[in-house]
Amino acid sequence: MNPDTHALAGAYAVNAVTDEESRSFEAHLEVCADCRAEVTELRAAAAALAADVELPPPPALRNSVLSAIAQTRQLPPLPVTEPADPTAATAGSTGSRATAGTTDDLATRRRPRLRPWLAAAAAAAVLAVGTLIWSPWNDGPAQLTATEQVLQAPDAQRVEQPMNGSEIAIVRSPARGQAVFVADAMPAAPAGKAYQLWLDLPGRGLVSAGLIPASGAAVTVMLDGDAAAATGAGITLEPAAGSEAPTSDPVALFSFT
Amino acid sequence: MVFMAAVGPEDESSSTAAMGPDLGRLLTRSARGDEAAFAELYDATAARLHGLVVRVVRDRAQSEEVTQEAYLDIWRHCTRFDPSRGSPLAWMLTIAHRKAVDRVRSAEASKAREVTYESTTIEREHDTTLEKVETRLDQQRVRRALDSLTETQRGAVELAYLGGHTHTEVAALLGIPLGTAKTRIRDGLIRLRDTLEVTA
Ligand SMILES: [Zn+2]
Repeated sequence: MNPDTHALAGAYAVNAVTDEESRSFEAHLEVCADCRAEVTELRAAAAALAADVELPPPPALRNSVLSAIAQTRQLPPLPVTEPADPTAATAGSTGSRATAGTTDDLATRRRPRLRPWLAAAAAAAVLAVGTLIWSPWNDGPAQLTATEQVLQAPDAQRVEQPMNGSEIAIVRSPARGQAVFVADAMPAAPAGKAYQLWLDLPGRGLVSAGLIPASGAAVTVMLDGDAAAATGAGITLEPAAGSEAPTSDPVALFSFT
Repeated sequence: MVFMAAVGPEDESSSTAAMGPDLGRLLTRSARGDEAAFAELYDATAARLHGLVVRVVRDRAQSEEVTQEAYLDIWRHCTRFDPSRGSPLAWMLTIAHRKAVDRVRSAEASKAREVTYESTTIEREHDTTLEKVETRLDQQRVRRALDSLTETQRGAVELAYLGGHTHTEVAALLGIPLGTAKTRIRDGLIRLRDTLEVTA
């Protein structure tokens, strides 16, 4: 983890960041539980300062507010999500390895590296399920970007792990059939190379889900392909133009089941 | 009174706060469209939210607009309030603060604000409001907590939160390096949190 990224938690908590810094820090929040907790606590601490500057608004404002809300429709609530059950996740990934093993035989002829990947994939299992909303002042889905809609989907699953000092995660919404890759400080690929995303699809093996944009900074990118059907995902280092199938060992693996 | 919502209940000095309305319940009722509950919520929190907005925005007419916008947002979004992500009051103040900051960062408004920024002293604001509010205990707690900050931390936190400045602007205003302002804001808020024993 880049300690400099964590250091922005205070400024972010009190809105003392630019819009760009805010977006990049929210990518970090997707993958950093420490900062998620810290932002909540520091927002509460800052809120205490408001006790020292109290000032009743003019009485007319009360009527104005109350007549405005009487004419304003409230947003629909977000569906309740079940907290992640680590026991279920473990059992699920064991089962999926068995299932994937059968498709493995078919795929192995074309993609010899699939088997070791799947054996290791259990390491990064689903850690958290839920919706993170950092900006309650933003409106509903109408204003959300495509990736934000996945990140805030009620059924979003988050699979996270560290990679070369960055925190990376794949957030997947089975209902939307989409997944988003998030990194708070994606390491830059060596010259002439690029990091490529892969989805593990039953019966098809590893299918390219696109390249991760070159970056030394925060990255949020939508994966190509049917994320609902995928049982896992991975990242390899490939030639800059990308490859049809992985040509190197994975640098990260994610199990969705 | 309502400060209780953001502070640990174990503290004797704010026991009067326990008599205030239960903001969480009022928010829950508001989320079901209960306008009377929202009116109670407004009465319990308006001075706190408006005071913060005025402190950031300065201009009274604009501040009233911002406070109204904040309450409208709270009304629309209270259906999605998540108690595990902070107290009701902290959540409401976060929304109001963001609205205030958005207002002053629009180029037009910030121009007008530059002129009055240095000439309006914080002390004068305190004097006029203190006579009217019933929350001296809360304020004493906050001031004691602020006193636990180093002078440089306090300056950075106040410029960022009450001044509505970005950490980059705070660095420029204090004549310190960029990374230093960021660190001071965070360290100051952490100290404040620990001194107030704020429960998120
Ligand atoms: Zn962090």
